[in-house]
Amino acid sequence: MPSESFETIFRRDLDRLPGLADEDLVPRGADSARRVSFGSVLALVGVFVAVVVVVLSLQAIRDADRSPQEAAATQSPYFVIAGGAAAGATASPNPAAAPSPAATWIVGPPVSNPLLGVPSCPPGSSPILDVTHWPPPGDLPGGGAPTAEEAFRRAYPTVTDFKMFPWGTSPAPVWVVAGSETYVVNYSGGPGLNSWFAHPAKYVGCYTPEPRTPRPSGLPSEAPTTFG
Amino acid sequence: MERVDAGRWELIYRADAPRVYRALLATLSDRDAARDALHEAFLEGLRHPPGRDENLAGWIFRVALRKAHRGPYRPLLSGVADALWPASPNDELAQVLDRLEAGRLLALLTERQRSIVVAQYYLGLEQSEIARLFKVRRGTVAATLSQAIRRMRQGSQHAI
Repeated sequence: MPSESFETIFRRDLDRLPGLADEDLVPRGADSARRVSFGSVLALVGVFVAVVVVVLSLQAIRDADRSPQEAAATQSPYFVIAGGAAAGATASPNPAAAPSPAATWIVGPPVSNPLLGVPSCPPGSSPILDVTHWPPPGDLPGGGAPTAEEAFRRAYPTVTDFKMFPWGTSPAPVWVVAGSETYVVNYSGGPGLNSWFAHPAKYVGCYTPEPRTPRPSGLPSEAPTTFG
Repeated sequence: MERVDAGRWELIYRADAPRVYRALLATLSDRDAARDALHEAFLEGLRHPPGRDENLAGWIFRVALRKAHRGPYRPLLSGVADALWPASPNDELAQVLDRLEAGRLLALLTERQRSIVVAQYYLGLEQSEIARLFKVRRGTVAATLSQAIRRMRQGSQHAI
């Protein structure tokens, strides 16, 4: 049994423990007070990884549950641009949306009526659109409309009876049907900052990427696929 | 209950914070946890100042302990940190505690017992104050303290 009282022992000994510097007694602002210790960082990383795993798992389950038609309907289209000077002729696909070089284009017939909704294609293939662009300067972020609907109404103020169909779950593109005419509304750069633009668009068909072996270096590349 | 003016809170807090920090060190045996918990208690006092009739050291101690236990992952991950960096500041703290008689006595106790022993013998709180702060019955405090004293006495005898 200690010869001194516990009170004496604790008061004497615990005062010998290292203290905090005066400036450390108070957190340096609310943020520094919430300084993250190593344990907290690990815990946050762990929680983040767990959330990502759960979200990806749910996404995989949802994708697995989707019908092929749904899956096809949400595939982003590849745009075939018919630029101002070359109006009426087809050109190479939009580089931003073009298939990878290691794929050939096999164009098949449409499998849905583009006047009734977003053009859909069989699983594994994507819709191709022939899009007529405005003359230069063309679509520049900041020069368009803040929303898809506003972009369409600005571009075609006389068209009042139209339907808009979102292309899958992402904000763009948007398929617009007005009577027998079809349009696509897309944004340039980012969806905000007045970057939406509307253009007449025709549903060309579906393409199926077909893997091919890489060409040996030094050989001339194939001519780009064109659609007339 | 009359409240402490939030503008004066830092002055009041600074008077008791050094002692409460050592009380937290003795209870938690973790320097980062003690410092973070103390800071959390300071912020809690800014948001909801304690009443004037509160024992302020006891209030800061209790709030800090509660904040320290808010994350159940802390003990596990502190262990991981100690394993990764063997020469952590907590090792130095453990060495200091081991050199002190109070540290050796506290090492015999559970954390709950340590918190009540430290509150009583170091911060000088009455059992009724400890009961009110920890939101338990006074009899629970007395029983916990009694068990802790028995353990410490037995431990001291074994040490001799």
